Amino acid sequence: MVTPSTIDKLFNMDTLVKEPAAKATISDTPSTTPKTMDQHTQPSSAASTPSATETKPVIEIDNVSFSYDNGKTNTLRDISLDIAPKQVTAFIGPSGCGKSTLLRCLNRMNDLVETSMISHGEIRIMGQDIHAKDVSAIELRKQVGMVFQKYNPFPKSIYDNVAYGLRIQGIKNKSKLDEAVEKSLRGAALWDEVKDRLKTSALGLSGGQQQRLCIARTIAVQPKVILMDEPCSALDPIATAKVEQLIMDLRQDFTIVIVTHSMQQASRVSDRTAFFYLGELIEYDETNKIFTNPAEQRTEAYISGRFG
Amino acid sequence: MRAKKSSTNEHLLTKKGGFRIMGIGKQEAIKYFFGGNAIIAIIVIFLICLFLVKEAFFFFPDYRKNLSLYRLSGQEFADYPMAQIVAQKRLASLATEARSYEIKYRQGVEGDIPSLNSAIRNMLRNKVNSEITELKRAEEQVEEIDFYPNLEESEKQARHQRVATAQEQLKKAAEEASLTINYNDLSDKTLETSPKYLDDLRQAAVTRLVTGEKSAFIERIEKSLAEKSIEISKDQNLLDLAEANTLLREPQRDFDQFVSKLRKITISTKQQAQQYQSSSARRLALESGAALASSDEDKERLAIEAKRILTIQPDYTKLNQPLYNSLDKHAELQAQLEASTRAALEKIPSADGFESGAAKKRLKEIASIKSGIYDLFAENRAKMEVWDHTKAYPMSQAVTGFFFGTEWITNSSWQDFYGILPLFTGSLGAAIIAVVLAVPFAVGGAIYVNRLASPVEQNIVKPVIEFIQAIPSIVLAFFGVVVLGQFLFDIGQNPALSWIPGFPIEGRLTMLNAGILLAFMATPTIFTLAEDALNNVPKSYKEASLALGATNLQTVLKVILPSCLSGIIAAVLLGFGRIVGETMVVLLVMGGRIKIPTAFTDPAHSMTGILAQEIGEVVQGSLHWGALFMVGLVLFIVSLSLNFTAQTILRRYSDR
Repeated sequence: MVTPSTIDKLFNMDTLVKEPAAKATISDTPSTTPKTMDQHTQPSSAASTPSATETKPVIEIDNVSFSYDNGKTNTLRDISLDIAPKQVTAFIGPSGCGKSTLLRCLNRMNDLVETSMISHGEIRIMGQDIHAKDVSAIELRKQVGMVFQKYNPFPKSIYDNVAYGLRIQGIKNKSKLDEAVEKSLRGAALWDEVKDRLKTSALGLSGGQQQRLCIARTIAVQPKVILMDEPCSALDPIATAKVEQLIMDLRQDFTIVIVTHSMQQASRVSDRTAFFYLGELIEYDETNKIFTNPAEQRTEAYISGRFG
Repeated sequence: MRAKKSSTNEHLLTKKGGFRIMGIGKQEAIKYFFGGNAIIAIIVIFLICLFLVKEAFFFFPDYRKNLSLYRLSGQEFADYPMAQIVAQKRLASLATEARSYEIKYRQGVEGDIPSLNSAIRNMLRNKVNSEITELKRAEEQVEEIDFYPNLEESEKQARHQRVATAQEQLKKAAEEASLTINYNDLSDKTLETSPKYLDDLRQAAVTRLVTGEKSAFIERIEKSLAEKSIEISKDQNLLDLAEANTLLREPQRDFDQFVSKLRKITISTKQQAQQYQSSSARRLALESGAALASSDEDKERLAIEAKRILTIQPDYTKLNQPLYNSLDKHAELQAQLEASTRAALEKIPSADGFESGAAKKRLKEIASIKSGIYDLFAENRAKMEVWDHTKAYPMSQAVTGFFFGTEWITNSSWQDFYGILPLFTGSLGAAIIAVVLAVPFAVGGAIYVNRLASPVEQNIVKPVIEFIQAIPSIVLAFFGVVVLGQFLFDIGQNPALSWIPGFPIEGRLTMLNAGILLAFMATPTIFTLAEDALNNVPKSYKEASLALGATNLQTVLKVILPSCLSGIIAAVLLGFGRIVGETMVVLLVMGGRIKIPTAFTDPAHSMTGILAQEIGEVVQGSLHWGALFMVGLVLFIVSLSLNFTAQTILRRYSDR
């Protein structure tokens, strides 16, 4: 469902947004790559110059190793990559390669697994180490929203679903909520379909509508980043097309990281693509390049469908 | 090929397998076994329902017949003035109680010293029993000296000596034993005690036992008490109360005499009626036997026998005439009663001038009855005026008399009443107290264990709560009688709590006590089911909520709890059903008073309790038997509908 205009947009975006120095490539040998040195020095210098904010990466992942079992085995090994603002970044790779795990690290959803830990490296969002002592996971998640694989609206009305995130922040003003709900539903391209039945249960919507409602719920709290964990895997092609269109529209306001199993989807919606394999980042580059001229053999093999 | 097939009669597709009985294979046998068990369970439930309904079926017609006799014999008429005097006497006894509580309260700790003294003396006497016997024997021997003039002098002296030794020993033993006596050993726990007087009381008991005289301490206390009571009796409030009391009691004697005369008349009428009923029933049986007899000889014999039984229907109009005639006399007596009650009630002081909580409670009760009592007088008078023994007793009244009757009186020499309301309210009251107490703990515990606790805590808390279910209810009941009852009673005496309706608590066995134990018993049921409900909430709700920046608590309260509310309601209902059917605790701990409770600290009886208590002693097939089965049926229906509602809620909301 890629229309010429969206493709245009895609290319425009690529040229408009200046990339930070391409750092993340293969990092088989940990901590020896000189690029990591750059990463440590660059953000601090960039922060001091206001003009650099535009291009400064929103998310910086720095030599991160992650373990689900208190560090005995590492599910992710030495991942380093930067994610630029107001772009769509896709994580691809075969099942079990750690792309979802990395995504869930970004808003600390892995905290729910008691034995999980970042065994090495750090993740910075807007320059702040998210595992620092004084960082609250609650505040982090307000800035880094998430849309899940299986649409999961609460068993409440459509209105209450969207207003939930605001209500828990203590906003009670009716007109403010009304406004935010409408804006979010419009943002998720759902307003016209549900405006007459805002008070009915969200569970009565179709699958695609429910997923878009989940996106509306996420953008209602105005996060900086939206993480999407295979948002279309439970949807039919038409609903998928709608959600993809939505992702491309949302790019103007949000930084989006999307995990997907569909290579076509990655190529359609994303500006940059990262390919993971067995817990390691194999290649990270502009989507165009990854799909037409990958640097790594394994990337090419995966994309062309020889394994995965 | 063909020959082989026909000989074994086996095709490639026919059933295989050696083990077969009557054409039933192993798999089928297992299937039928389980299916059969399920069917048996269903049949048993059906039979239980049928049995209950069958036994209870004849209750209403029988009860109606019974009540018809109650009317026909005039007992109904006699009960109207009875109700009047009972209500008036209640006022009088409340006033008396209020007065004595107040006096006791004002006397303070010392007021109970005379009773304490005698109680402790008795305890001491029991402890030194052998020494007392020894002394008595020695004294008897001394007395015998006069009967044996030629007793040797040395022997005489020895006997005197023995008395002296016995006295000495008694004194020593008493002094020792008195030190072991404590207030805790008192059998009457209502006595007010003060540690400051314990030594004096011990000493007084020893003195009394050894010398037979009152100790100075007791004399001093008695004197001061006498002085105090003179002072107390001068109090205007108490004087007013005493005067009101006299006024209330004044007309009671005449009225009582009137009522008891009426009752005597009606009882004799009833006896005649009963005799007539039983003899005519016997005659009817003989007559029908004669009609069915095979030989003419038998027929004749039975017919003669039937004729020999006298069945003269009593002339109820004549027998009840004295009742109708008594109306004038009653009007006169009632006027007297009303006038004196009015005068007395004006005298009764307000509760504000009183210090004792118990007295205040009684005076408030008087104030609440006050307005209604004249209406009650008038109402009963009106009923007497229109009373007519020939009016048939309607079936509807027998039915409402059961479901809304406020009296459950059995084995009465006067008239039995089977009103379920006191039992129903008792059961319901205790169950409601229990649910109100159990829900916060059980649901809160379930939320904590399921959502907030660490795995270690889960592993401790869950089995412990579920273990409660393993405690036999009789053990809990025992705990309630012995420990909890006393504990609540002690707390209930605290004047700081007297603002709560129903306080001060006046007994150990109360609805509150039973409710607390039932709450304890309902907790595991509610906890386990609520935890299941919480477990059934999809994990994705939690993730979605957390991903929006909600805290754990917000997630639980705003997403998890609302989405499993139906399950939790069902859990509460099932817990409710569990405790409505509970027997042992309510039977032993609730006090067994068959009266509609007015406060949650009142003693009460229950439907289950009455069944357990009475079903063993009742004549099979009697009216009482039927009434108990009706109670069982009501209980069954209550439990069934609670369960059904819970299941419906679960089913309707679980498949979202």
